[in-house]
Amino acid sequence: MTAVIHSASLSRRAAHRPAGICWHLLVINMLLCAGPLIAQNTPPASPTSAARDGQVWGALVYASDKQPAEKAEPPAEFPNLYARLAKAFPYKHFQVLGQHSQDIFREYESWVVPSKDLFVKLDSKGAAKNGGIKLNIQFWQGQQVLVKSDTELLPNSPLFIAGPKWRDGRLVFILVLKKVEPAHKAP
Amino acid sequence: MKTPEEKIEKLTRWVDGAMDDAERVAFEAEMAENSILRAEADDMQKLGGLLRSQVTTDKPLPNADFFNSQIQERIAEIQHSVDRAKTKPGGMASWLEWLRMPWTIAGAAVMVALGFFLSNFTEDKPQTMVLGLYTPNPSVHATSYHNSEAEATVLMLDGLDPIPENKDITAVNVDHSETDPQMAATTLYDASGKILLVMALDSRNQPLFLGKGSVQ
Repeated sequence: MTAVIHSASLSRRAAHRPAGICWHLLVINMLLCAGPLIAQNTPPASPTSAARDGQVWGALVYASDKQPAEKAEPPAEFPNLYARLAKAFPYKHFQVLGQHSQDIFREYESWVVPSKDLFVKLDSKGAAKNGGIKLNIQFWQGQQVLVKSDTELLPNSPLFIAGPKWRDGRLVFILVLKKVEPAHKAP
Repeated sequence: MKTPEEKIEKLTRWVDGAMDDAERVAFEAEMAENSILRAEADDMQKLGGLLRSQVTTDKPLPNADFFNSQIQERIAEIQHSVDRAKTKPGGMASWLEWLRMPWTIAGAAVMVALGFFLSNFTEDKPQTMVLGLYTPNPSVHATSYHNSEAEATVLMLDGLDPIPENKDITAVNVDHSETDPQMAATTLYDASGKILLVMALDSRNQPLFLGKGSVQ
């Protein structure tokens, strides 16, 4: 099952990228040529059925004791990220490798892909107390699920997923709830 | 004295002073004529004196009042134990007795204060909660906890194979994405609208990626 989202605003953005579209369609055609590999049971989509529960920000961070060649600036979405990571993990230096802001749609899966090596799949289960969202989270490495989790993600309370070790440190996935749609807040 | 038993009985009564005057005078006259009897009487008298000096039957009890109070307390404790044994376990009497203990009241006060503090703390700072974890690979162990200093919930994965050092990590900065239901694919764009990655799912619902992204 694949996420099925269309919105007028997104379609308008796509219409202003003629060069990108060609490459995009070429890639998708290649995917379709894979025939049986592509999921067959795609749910029907309509713009109105895709209710948003909120938005998350995800990032892949490299934590190590070696100072990176270039000074790593903290991300705008999470200015004190490195200081808070330093309190949770025994490393001196942190560097965001990739990041991704993603809308969370009810009844549809959403992918947060700051890297195609480590990423998460999110299934919203609706609003939680204290302005949070109930999520089924799958943490993927390539084509393997490392962990599945039922989590209530709350604003201002990030989730740090300590992933595999790499080189002199460790890869950490960050998941932050940026906002919740008011209509879907729990009482 | 015809038999030894009679002689010993008379000697004993003489030593103990149990003879009346007439009997004592007659016995002492007999001892004056019989030196052996007199010697036995002297030996028995010395032995009696020695015994009396070593064995005191009416020796005064030191700290008698304290001793008596201890005895009375001990009797009260035994009586109390018997009464408690007669009470049913979990009965109202035993509960009330338990509640009357000083440490129970102090402990309850501490618990109430702690509960009040914790409820205030958790109400002020709600935190992300991991409700359930599952790792398909049995050699991978997942745990979660809240790190109050970092103000974050940490999900630790132990037992993962390290990524080889020579492998590059492909990372992207995704600004927005579009998912096409007809193509069953999600396209990831950067802030300038450039396509970074295209992701689709295969028949086993495993993601396939096209596009390079940036290599770290």
